Amino acid sequence: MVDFIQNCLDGVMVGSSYALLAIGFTLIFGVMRRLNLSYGPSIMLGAFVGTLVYLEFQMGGFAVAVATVIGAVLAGIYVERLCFWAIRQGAAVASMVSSFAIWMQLEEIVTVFFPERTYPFPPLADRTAIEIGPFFLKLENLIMFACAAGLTVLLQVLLYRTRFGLALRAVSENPRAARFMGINIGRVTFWAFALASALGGVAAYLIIGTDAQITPLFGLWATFKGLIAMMLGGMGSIPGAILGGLLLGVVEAQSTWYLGTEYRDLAAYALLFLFLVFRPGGLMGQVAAERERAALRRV
Amino acid sequence: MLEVRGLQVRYGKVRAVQDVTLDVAAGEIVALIGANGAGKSSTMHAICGIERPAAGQIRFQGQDITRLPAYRILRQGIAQVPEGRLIFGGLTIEENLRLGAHGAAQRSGGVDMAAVLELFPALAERLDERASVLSGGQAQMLALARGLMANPKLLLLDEPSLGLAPVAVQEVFRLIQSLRDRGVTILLVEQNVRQALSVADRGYVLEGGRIILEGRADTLVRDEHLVSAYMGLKPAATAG
Repeated sequence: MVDFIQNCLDGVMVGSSYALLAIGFTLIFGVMRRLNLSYGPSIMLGAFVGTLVYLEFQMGGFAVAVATVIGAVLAGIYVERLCFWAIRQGAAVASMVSSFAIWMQLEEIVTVFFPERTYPFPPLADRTAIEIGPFFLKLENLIMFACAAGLTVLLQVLLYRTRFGLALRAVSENPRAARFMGINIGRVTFWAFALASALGGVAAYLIIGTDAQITPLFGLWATFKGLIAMMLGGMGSIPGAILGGLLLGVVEAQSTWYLGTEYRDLAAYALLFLFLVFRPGGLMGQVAAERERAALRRV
Repeated sequence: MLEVRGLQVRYGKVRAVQDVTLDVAAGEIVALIGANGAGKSSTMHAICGIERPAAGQIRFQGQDITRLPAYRILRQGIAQVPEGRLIFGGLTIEENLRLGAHGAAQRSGGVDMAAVLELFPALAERLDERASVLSGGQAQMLALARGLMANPKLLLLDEPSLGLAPVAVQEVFRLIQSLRDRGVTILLVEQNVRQALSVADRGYVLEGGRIILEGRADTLVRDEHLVSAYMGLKPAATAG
């Protein structure tokens, strides 16, 4: 029982970073109804900008974090202009396929400038752990969780207390109605991409800081984790993205402990499979699916 | 105030609007009448920038707005209450109203929500509720209130009585009447021809994407062609 609870604690803390990735996917999917496969690779590029700052200028944690976020936002905007803005009149699948092409391009760019596969990254914290009763909480996990939780609260304030947040929610719910309100859809989409990329940049900094090293494969990894967490939670729902991320973290932690590391990803895919068969809308997706149907009725 | 000249709107190869020329003067209520598919909504969408005209010119207060994007046109002072209401069901009533003022906020001031709510006492009590709980008639009232939040100089109303119960239809037209008393200029699209002409000053009849008839509302009501073509349909037949 102690093991089980310990795994849940670890899972929730690691899962908080998956939640950030899933929120990023959800924000973009919400305003565009299009999938951005290049989300992971664009924040990977940001993390390599962070590595560059770390290696070239010997700067510490905060500067690296800022560089990572700026790099991720610039890469995200690049993807938005090329794969989404430029072909906004075209089919949704065209955006998805071109975002896949840009994925390959971003990976190649990084490989050209960083020819060795692995590079060091400033560690998030030293390897201390805090003991609470029978449980151990790693300092780096605590930092990760605190940052993710803080950002989620900030995002909530942004979405529910600001003019931009209201416009973003309106576009997510019904883009056509939003145009009648005089909302500049292009601008809202642009900033939603920037916001999602910034969140992804922070997530990348936290995750890679825990490993203290980075490879170009991080892009693939981040797209997988974010997509799975989003689908578990339900496409287009931010509370769903948070729950999906935490659930994914816990399932990974449990399967690592009870089945072994080699079964960790298998367990995650099995979970996704079960969800797709028995609850395709995800945890919170029924709500979003209802809304989608209602929106269709209105047309 | 509004001048539309030789307007043409296409969807691919289909020409929804062939050639529409119309004027709306300040303080007027003008009705745009026609059967389904006559091009009424397409005309409205072109005026507010949701659709881009294929040909023709639209001028508002002397300025060419033909190719401006929708959010710029709204800033000039043209708001539209769209057909089917397009309420944001997942947002609260207050949020819906605030969205109405969104586009106009960059223009001088916008409008006080309390002033708009004076016209809609039923909404004022339910600001924190989700808009999806509203009935059809209430949702139409919210859509109208949301349109007024933009403090428009010209208000475009697209089928405001569509799908409403007779009581709600009466309420909508009473409201249009009271807006006229406040000096709001209105371009009204309606299938409910008799009702529309009863509040309007002038009317245009659209058929096959062209204006086939225009005149003062009280003359149009007596027009034989119009009576036989559209008024045989009782309003109740389209209500649902």
